[in-house]
Amino acid sequence: MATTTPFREIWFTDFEFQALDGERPWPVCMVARELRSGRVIRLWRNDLLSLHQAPFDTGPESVLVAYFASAELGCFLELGWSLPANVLDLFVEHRVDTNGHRLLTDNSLLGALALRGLSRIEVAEKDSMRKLVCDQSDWSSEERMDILSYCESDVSALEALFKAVEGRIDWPRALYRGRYMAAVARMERTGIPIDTILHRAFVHGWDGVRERLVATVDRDYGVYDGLTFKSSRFNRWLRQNEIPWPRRPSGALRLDDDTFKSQEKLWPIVSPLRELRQSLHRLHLADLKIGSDKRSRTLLSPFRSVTGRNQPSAKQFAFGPSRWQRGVIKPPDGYGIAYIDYASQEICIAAGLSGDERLIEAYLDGDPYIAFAKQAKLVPPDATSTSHKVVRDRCKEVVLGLNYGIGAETMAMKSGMSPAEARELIYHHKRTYRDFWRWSDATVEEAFFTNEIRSVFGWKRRIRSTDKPTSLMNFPMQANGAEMMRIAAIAATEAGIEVCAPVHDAFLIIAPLDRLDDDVGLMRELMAQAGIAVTGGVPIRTDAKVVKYPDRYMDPRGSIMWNRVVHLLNMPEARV
Amino acid sequence: MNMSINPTTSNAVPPSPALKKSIFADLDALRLPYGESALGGAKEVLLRIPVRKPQRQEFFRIHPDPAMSLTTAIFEEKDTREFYFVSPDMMGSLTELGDISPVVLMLAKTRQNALLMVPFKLPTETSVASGWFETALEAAARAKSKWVRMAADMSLGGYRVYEAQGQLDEPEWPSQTFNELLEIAFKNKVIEGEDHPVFNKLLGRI
Repeated sequence: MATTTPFREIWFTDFEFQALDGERPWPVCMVARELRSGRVIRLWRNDLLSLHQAPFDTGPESVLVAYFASAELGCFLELGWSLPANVLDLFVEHRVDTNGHRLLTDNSLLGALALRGLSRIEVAEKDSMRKLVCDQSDWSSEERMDILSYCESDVSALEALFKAVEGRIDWPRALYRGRYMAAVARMERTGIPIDTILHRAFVHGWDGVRERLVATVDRDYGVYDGLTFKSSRFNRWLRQNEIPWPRRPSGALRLDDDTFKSQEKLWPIVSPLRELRQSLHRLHLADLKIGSDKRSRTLLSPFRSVTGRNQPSAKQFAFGPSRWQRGVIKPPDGYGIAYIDYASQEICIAAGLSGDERLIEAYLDGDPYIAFAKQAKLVPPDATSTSHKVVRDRCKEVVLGLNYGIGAETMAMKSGMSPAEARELIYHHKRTYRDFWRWSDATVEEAFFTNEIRSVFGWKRRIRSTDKPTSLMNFPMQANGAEMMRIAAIAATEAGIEVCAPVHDAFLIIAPLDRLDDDVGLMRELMAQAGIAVTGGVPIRTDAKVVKYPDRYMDPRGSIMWNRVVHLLNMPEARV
Repeated sequence: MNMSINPTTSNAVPPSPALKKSIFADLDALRLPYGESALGGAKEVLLRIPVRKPQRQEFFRIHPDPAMSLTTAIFEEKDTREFYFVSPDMMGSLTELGDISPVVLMLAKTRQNALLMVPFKLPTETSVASGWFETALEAAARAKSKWVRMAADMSLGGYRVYEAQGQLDEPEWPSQTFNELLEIAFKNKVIEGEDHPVFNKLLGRI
């Protein structure tokens, strides 16, 4: 797998830049060094701005090496430079090397060096230099020299790390991952369009609205005392409404958000309470970083999760946990946005990779849950998701739960069926999809034998002695789902589609109204192609929700709360 | 896509270099073999086959091949409910003590995929031909082609036999010979000589 570096020129590159909240990067300086010739380029901002292209070769015979390359590539984009043909991101390759291990160091460049016994600049010195870069807009000659030297020390560190890992680099897949970092730079640059007038109204008016919001919602529950949620009152309300609720061993009600989330599926009546509790805890909108161009930007944090998915900050990402607050996402005048998501991505991947004909058939049927019910002869052949909703919903709980290795007791609790019914459905699933189960068991067995599990394009997780089989069962679906998203993001951004953000198994794109339909069609086509590349041929469906100015994005599950809040803010024009 | 002249005022992104191939052109070469196991699969090593009757709630099948059964005599230790295989040399001695039973040993498999060696008792000259023997053997005969369960009914004086109504799959049988399976079932449970602890206990030597 490891080969000698297949490029004529290898450029280690680092930028120092300022990044004010929500704004695009403001490059301060750049240092680049070529490995074989030793040539060094040190440029301050005014020199960078005068160039129309990078001052070194970025063609197919060269590779740019960086640590967390989306930052460097973001600076390329800001300077109007074409992106390099080849990118090697040593942060990503460090993650590939160590994913699943419990590390004593963090995943910064310093941490990656320390892990390999390569010591560099002290953290305190690094922090003081970062402060010098970020806290000023004008620098003396001496300060400029210091900053350039500091930048060059990072380039030296990059080179040292490269030499330590060069023999282990899987070049073809590393370059593919580097290509995704370019897509990330583009998506972060595009950002998510925000209705900043409404956003400001929410943030400034929230304190005044909170008490009235509680009073409005709590009319139906009677569980609040002022702004304080009273567990004893909630307990009484549950009893009055004959709603069973999970408890701690002490007997106290479980009041964490995960419990509310699973309970609201069984008892939708608690959904407004859950939303209220989430919102009162903190108005998530206050943490959004919005630039002067009315776009919200946050680090997408690619390759952060153990499955290789992005993991942006929940607080700073416009698609954070609170659904109703996503209503501030709105296309500007003359534009539209589209939210395009994969339909039942995990099931399609499971079907494709296992080759289970019946599971493939169930996915292609359109509703894999009612299809399972029919295949297991739990419902008649002409049953629909409407005519047999209860069975269909229980089958859904079992299908999704089994992916995660959830047992019968937990499934029963989440879906309102008895443990015996859950066990029966599990038996039917294992009998109906034998090939899938054989493949899943073999995959987990292989992982424990080889001490690693990976995706089809080489994202790896090391297996520890404390790992349980159930924790690995879902890895193929999640990790390959992440690969599908990466391929689609690369294809879309390189095709010129303005992708605002990836959102787990979906994308938000933006386009002028006269191009919106074409871009949506192209995006869906590219996502479908990415799907086939991962599943090995099983076609994956996508759904698209298009929103044109002056409408706003709204998650249907958040619309009631949204309308309550805009009413209290006296902004009826914002109702959905 | 417009290339911005003043990059600080536009969200437009510069195009990729024209030389870059579509990502889809590269993917076949990047894809790693998936689902091909370095392990080559794992085969269960059969280490234990309980010698017992199926429980009343267990549906079971009997191997249909007559070569997968054996008419013999076995000894049941009443204290521990354990069964011992009796070698031909010891048949005479144990028959005199009146403590062995003629059985047909049949290979069975339950719905939970457990293999059993089931001793179906045969009537003798001295034992009363009872409904217990008959109904058990009838259940065994039916179990060669259908999933059945048998539940003891004292008032009936025999077993009630139930056939499964669902469309259930055929069992997968092990590849070992019946002799190999007997060795596993009766490992360390063979009475081969008069110094066997069971024999000593019967004679009051211990």
